[in-house]
Amino acid sequence: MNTEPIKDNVSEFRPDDESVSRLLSAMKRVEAPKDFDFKVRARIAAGRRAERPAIGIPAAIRYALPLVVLVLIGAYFGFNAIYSNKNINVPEVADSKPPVVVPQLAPASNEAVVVPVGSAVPSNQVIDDRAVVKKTEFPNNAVVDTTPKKSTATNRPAGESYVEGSRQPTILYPRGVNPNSAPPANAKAMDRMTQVPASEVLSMFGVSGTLGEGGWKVESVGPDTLAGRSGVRAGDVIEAINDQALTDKMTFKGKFNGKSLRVRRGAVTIQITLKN
Amino acid sequence: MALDKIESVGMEVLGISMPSQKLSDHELIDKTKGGDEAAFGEIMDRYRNPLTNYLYRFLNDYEEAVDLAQETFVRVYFALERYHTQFAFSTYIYRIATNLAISEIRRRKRRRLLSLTGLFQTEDDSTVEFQPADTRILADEELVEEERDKTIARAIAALPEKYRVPVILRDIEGKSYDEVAEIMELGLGTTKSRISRGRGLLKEKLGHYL
Repeated sequence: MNTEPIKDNVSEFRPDDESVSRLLSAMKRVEAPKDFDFKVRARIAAGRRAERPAIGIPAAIRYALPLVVLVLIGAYFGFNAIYSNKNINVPEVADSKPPVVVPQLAPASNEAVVVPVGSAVPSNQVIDDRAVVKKTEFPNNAVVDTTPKKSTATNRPAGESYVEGSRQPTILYPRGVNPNSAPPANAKAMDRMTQVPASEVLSMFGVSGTLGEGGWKVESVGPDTLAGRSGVRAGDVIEAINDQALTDKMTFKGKFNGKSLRVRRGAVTIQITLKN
Repeated sequence: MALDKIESVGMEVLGISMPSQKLSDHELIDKTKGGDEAAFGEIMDRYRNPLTNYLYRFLNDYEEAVDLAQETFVRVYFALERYHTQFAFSTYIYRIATNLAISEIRRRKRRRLLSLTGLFQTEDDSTVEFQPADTRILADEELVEEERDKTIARAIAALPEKYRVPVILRDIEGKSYDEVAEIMELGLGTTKSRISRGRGLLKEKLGHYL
């Protein structure tokens, strides 16, 4: 045992310090027990076991698996978000009666899409906004009313402010058409081949009349119909829809965009813009 | 000499590596990192007893000192990858041991455990109550020495931490001022000042033996 006091630098060492230092350095030293190493190695082994993952899955799989699951979930929602607006077709319903207005949960917009019998309609009636409708390519002779509608207190849904950009168009369905039913297998082909007579189109506008000389003579107009709201009156003669002259055999294919009517009222011919 | 060489070759033939005594701490660390368990055994051989003695003087509790010394080696082993060899290994391992011991003392205080130290050490270490040594004459010199050591140990254990650590490192473990300063992560001047102050406190308590 080293009983010599530890020598400090002379300048740092006082006589009192030296005696204390000598006393401390003379103390008996203790040693580690014989099983010291064994216990240390046992602790290290226990620590290794604790560090080891509970399940023997390789690290790559451990991290890759949740990542793949996340990607799949993201892809699922992404796919739904992209393709949920795709149109699905509705089955053809042979009905020549005037169309009915399907109540919409969403507020009506300033556009009207007239869907004739047998034509394809958007799934869940989703025509999100005006931009979507305008960009939609309709089949031949498509008539879709896209006339801008002024914001008035009467045409606003109760309790809502008028926000033009967020409005959804009113979609008119002929009676018997179920927009939520599954489309037939050949719905697209049917959509192209569907021949909608002029009388059917006028019925959808809310006009009841007979084909006479130079056009359809209006016998009655529903007050809350597209034609009624646009100013068509009984006694008018509808000469053309969208500047297409109406004849006896004239038909429309699939969906169409009803923009305007050329009407002869007495001796005057006027152009009526269809309003929703 | 030749016998040592033959023995060494024989051990290598048996696949057992024999770390040389000449290897520095850093070389042993590198070997341990490479998977040489014998090198770590050599490190334990070098520091096992000094650490146990240091912690014993710090805590005045042999079982606790052994336990913390073992824990120190475990910590070192699992932190080998993070150890930078620009620092002296002895400084590094003493720093770990010191931190463990300080944590243990603070844990004791929280739990209000009454150990031999706690009988005369106050909660905040600011005021120290000390029971004077029994000055009666003992027949057996060994008993006298034992009693003196116990008294000194209690006096050391009664020192505040900031004085106890440097005094033990300097006067019992024989570390240089620079090493003590490095272990405590203090400036040299502060370290010397604390050692001097610690010695002064001990002198007040151990005047009988001086």
